Amino acid sequence: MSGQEKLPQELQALEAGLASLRPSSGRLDRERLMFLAGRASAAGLGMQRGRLGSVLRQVAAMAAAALVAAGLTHWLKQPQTQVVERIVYVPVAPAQQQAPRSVAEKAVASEPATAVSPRTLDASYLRELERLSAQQAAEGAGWPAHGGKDLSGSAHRRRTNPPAEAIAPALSRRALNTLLEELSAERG
Amino acid sequence: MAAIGVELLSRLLDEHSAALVLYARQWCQCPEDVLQEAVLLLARQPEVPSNVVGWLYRVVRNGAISASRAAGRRARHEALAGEKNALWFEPGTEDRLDAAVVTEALQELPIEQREVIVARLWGGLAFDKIAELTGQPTSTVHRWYHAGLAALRERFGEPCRDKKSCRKSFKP
Repeated sequence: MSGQEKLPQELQALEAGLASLRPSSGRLDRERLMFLAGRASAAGLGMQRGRLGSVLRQVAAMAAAALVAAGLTHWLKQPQTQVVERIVYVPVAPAQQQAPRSVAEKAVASEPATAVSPRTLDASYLRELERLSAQQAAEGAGWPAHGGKDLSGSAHRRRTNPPAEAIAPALSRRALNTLLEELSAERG
Repeated sequence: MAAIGVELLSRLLDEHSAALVLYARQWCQCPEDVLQEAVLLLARQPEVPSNVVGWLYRVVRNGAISASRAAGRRARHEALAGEKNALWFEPGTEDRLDAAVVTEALQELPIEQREVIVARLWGGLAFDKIAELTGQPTSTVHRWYHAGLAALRERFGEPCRDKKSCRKSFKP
């Protein structure tokens, strides 16, 4: 002890007496502790190497992720393929038409084939067919001559509504009657 | 061994293991386990601490305090009962002081005085090192040391009613 820490004389004697006692190690097994310390030291060295390998693996994983991200960014930035739509007209032979056959077509099937496109038989068309059939029956074989005054406005109708001959020039009287019969049956 | 060599560790155990066990006894009833953990921790260090003895005392102190808290109040009562019977010192015929009496007297001291006396007398630590260990000023450590010795002297110097018991008490 230094001079500043000098104890009173009576305490110095007590201090000396206490210091003469030897502490007990108790249950401590020195040899076993040395063995465990050696094993712990070796394990600590292995952990250090494992940590280094883990760090290297993490660095490699981050580099791979960065590479993938860079590739994805480059791919996304590429100009997208422009889709250009062009209408290409392909000539189709009349005989190759495969459209579903309407009732009118079925009626025309017995007649010589002509370049007539099937039409949707709506109500107005059916009425027109009936009217023309009746007119044809009343006028005989022919149509009313053009140029005659027609107060009923049939000439106007003929100009705006083409005659049956223009609509279905291939429809004969017989075919027309058959068509009208079938339409009536469907309506019934 | 990676950092600490076999020779250094063997010398440390020979010179300081008993004092470290006594130091750990101030808090817990398993001082040997606390010292073992401290030595294993030292073996795993990548580098030997500059002040390896001070390092061991610090680790032992922290471990003993943690063990005491983990033991709980009930275990602490059992620890006190066990501590009274545990041998803190090696029995000797040449000793001026009786080991059992000294142990009993030390157990009656406050923990801060007891810690300083044990670290100083049997650990061989300087007062400045003890101050770093306890986190107290050096003057406070001095004061605790003086007060502890004075209390022990008074404890040993009490007039004995039984002369037989006084024979094994402190003899100046």
